[in-house]
Amino acid sequence: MKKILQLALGLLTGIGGFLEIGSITTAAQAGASFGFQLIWAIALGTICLGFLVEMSGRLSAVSKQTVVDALRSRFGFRFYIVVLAIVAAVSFLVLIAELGGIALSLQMLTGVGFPWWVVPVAFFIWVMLWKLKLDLVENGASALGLVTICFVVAAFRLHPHWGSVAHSFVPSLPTDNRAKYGFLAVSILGASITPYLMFFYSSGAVEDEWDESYIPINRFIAGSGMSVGGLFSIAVLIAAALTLRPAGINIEKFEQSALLLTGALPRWGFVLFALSLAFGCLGAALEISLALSYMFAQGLGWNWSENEPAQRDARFSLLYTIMIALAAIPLLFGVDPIQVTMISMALTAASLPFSIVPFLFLMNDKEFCGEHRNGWVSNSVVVIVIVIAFVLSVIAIPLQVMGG
Amino acid sequence: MKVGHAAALVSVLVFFAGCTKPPSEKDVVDSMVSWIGTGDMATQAWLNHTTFDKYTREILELSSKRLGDQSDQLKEVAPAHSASLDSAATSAKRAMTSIARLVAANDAPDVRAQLDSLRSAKKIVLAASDSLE
Repeated sequence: MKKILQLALGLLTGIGGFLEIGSITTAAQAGASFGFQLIWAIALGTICLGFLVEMSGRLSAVSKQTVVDALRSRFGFRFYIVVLAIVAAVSFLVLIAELGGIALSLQMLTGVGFPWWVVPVAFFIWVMLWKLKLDLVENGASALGLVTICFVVAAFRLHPHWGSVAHSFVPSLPTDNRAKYGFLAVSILGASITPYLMFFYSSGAVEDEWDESYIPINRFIAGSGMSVGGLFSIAVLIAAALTLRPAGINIEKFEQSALLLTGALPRWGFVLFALSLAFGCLGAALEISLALSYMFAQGLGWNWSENEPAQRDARFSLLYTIMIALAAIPLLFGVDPIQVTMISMALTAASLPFSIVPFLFLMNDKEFCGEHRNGWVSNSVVVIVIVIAFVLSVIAIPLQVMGG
Repeated sequence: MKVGHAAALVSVLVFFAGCTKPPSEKDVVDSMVSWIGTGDMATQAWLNHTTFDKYTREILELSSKRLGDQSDQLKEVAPAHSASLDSAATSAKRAMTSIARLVAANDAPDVRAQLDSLRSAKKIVLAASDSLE
């Protein structure tokens, strides 16, 4: 019974926690600029994320270690510090973007400028982390995140040509604006394949004391949750392609994307968009704050647990307190969250080999995964997607920068 | 990070910053279409009672400002562009500013009239964009 409940909650987390500012922004920009043409990038990123999440859960279920512990013991502390520096830097940028996303949604709903919301939002997130246990943090935010189903409803109500949608699962090049196309593809991959999620998920598995009997549940959660979450992301793209693109709108400021649902859901579309953004970003901000604290605390050998009272692991709690406070600072000075989002997503894609390749070594190591080591399918899928993301980012980021 | 690595990283960033080229005429005109389209859609959404007054006013003011910025940029990147494009951009900017004011006054009939004017201007800018394909 407990496992069935965990399965349901895991599925809920996968679905309700998938959309956040990165996936909404990149999918909306892609749909507005290139119609359905970048659906393949969302599909590819989602498949890769599903594999990675499954692997991190499997690693923890078999070895009873988090990804951080395993990386440290396999490669040594010095190597881990390099991985930590890279993943923490890009994840911190994503945290800024998520805080900005919540503040922007409140600006849309109240008309009060987003910098005014930054401190209350940061405080609210900190209180949630300070007071609540992991299950409540994770499942509560994901339950709220189910509001993002409105994008799926909107996509159906807009009656897309499903043949064209299906056709877009195969990559194709646009006739012009190829640098922007490449940059958006990279950003979509960066928004989908978020390394912090591996660290967060494996820490959660250890906190929940998973063992090998959880491997099938883990597989189901990772496969189904991420697939459905990916479909939500595709729904955002479809809605943007059928509403913003015909109006000639290229999203330069986030306020423009708030119009995404107003055509398909005339009565509630605007409010639902703002709520989707708020709840999606809330879940992501909580997860990233915890993931960053897990990465540092586990790497430095400190006590860590979201299920323990804060005074039992004071340094762990201090870490997320500092992270949240630091992330709020640039937003207080009016830094544009959409710019941070696009930069952080592209940098995430570029940084993937540094976090994923060592992880793949772990997943093929008998000492950590025993007979549950990766098969050739898992290895091939992840390697191919990471290579695509890296090559695209090396080409597209400079081209986009040079193109202004 | 060693000093040499940091210097190399800074050099690469400076190189890319130096390589940044100004947008083309087509990019600027497309951006103008985008901001007029944003104003159009936001106004229609307000008329459908979908969006809040304050958001509508703000997005219209933002669209009007960005359209003005793009018009100025167009003068730099393509000094020989058509006078009709200039006049359409001015007309669209004026219409969006008026709509923002009319939204505050909750004057839907006049908003509709201004929206027609905005859409006429949009057609001209859109045609200019298509001619640059």
